[in-house]
Amino acid sequence: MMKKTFGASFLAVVLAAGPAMAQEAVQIGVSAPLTGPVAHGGEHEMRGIRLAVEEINAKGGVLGKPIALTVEDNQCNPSVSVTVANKLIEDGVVAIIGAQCSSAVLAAMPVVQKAGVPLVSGIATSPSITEKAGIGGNPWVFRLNPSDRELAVADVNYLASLGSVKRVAIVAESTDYGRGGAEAFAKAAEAKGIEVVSTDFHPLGAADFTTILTRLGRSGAQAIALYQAPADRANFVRQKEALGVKAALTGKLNFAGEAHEKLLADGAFDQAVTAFPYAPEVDTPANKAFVAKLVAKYGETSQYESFAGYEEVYVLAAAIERAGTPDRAAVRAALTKTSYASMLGGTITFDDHDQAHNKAVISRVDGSKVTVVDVFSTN
Amino acid sequence: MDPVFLGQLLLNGIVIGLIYGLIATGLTLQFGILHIVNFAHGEVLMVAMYAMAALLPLFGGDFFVAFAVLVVLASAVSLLAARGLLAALATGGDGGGIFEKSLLLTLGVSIVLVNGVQQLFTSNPQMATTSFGYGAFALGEIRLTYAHALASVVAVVTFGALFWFLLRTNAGRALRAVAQNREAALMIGLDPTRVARRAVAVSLVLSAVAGAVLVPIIVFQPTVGQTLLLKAFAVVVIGGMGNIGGAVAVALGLGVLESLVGGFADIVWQNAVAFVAMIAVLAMRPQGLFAAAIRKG
Repeated sequence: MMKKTFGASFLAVVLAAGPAMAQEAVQIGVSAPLTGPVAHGGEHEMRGIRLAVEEINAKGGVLGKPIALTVEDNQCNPSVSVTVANKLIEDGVVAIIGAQCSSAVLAAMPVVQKAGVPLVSGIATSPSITEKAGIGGNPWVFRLNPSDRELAVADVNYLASLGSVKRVAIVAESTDYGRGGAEAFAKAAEAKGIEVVSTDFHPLGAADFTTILTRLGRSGAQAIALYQAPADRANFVRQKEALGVKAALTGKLNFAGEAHEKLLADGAFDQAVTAFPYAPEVDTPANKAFVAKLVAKYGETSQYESFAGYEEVYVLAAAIERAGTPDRAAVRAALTKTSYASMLGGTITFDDHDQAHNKAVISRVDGSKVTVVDVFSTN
Repeated sequence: MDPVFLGQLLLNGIVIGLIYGLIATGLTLQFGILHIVNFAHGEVLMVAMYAMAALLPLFGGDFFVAFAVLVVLASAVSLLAARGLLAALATGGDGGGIFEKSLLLTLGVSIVLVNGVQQLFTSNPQMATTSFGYGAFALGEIRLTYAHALASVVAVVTFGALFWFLLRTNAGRALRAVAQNREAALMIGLDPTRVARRAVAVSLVLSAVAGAVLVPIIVFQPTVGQTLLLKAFAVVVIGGMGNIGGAVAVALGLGVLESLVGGFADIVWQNAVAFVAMIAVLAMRPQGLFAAAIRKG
């Protein structure tokens, strides 16, 4: 009898606490690659996301409640990304931040559309995300970062202005990201009269690039445009240096992280030119303060993913606040009216395709030193 | 055909093949003696890479000293790990289902190791600097980096030592005896558990050696072992499961074939070679290319 009473009262407490706990916090879902070939990207994105949530919660949260994160690992795998999106939706999140890899975002897009949940994407760069989002397509997907089309045009324009590069080879991972980037670069190169001598796609997570490099070394390419995950790129650049392939590097490059910093110091990136959505070197007060915060907290400088994670949270939190309710449709409507001052100096507003036109960065490397050439507006 | 291009492709292929061989021989050795499949074999390589990266700075980037220390450490750890693995496989007492048990057990160990290393060292790509830097031998116009040359020499010496051990020492003979017929080996007074322990330890050290020679060549992260292990599985199946000579021969052949396919066709096909070959072999000669004739009666 005693036991039964205890059991019943325990159940009553749980039932009462359930809905109350759900109301106490605003639930935001995160779909990120926490394991697998780009786990480092997920780790850096989480640093930015957690920092932003801590700051917002310290100031009283949104709608007077703290933000609570539900984080799921999508492994950078499109099919896992679908499962993760469904799980987060089942968990009742207001909106989802993610999914970092272009293939993972593209796979999750129909899922969030069907369920009517906003998806805020700040890292994936495949141009087809823009094509499929917003007007005439999927109104639930919002992208903060420029796509590879805009970045490739800026990269090629700068390359063409140097006048030294007439023949380029493209090396990309065989994913939506790599294929989208390669196509965008080829189109931009054609428009500027730069010849693309070859395009090679390799599997994500490849370790050995000696074959491609052997071919490229003999192809007469003056530059190699890369669209690869950071670990693959580090392998490619290291082996390129060892095999003595002389072409300059371009495409999508960044130089942050231990392996890349060593390669940079060794001169393996010299003569490189790139257009990238972010660089820790960008000299705005907001970015300098952000980099200092990350270094203080994690002992490592800011990477693109950390920057994106931080702005993803702020843009979404502002939209929830404007909506005045954690209702998914109201948050979607509020997101379309976003006007957020980015750390890079641009203002994030969404166009018809729910694509923002934040600033992006052109950098070059000379004598192991990264110089920001231009922080330009994408359109 | 351009001889320099062909020569460079062949050379690249041989080096890659030798590295595949180091991983595959360990895998096939475990299958031959214990009839188990080790899904954590790639993680042994991964852990060895992290260990090597930690050891290198202690010895001023001198690869050879760090390598010697790693092999000693790996041997000690492997003996313990082999003892643990065999004890875990023996639990339950019925002695049956060892294959199924090995699948689950090693898969679990693999998950724990990948995530454990990620927790400890983050998933940032790691690059260890060695005394070789980016240097290379130039054979005419063909280039062989010091790091690739070293990996090849270590692999060849290791295979030599392995075959000497298997063919010329009593411990090696005991190992082959147990692989051929466990019951008969028991009857002539061999202790199969002891032999198996030795075989597992040797195979783990082989994987650690593969990891060590890869450190100067590639940048790595916790998942580095998994793609390499898949290739090694294909090599083992094609060569005949449990056949060490077959594994070495197939690994070399695969490395060269991959390099030629990548050089003359689309790079995308390079990765398919191993698995297309595996399916073809399974369809036409399921015992593997180098399987010994099965004695009947």
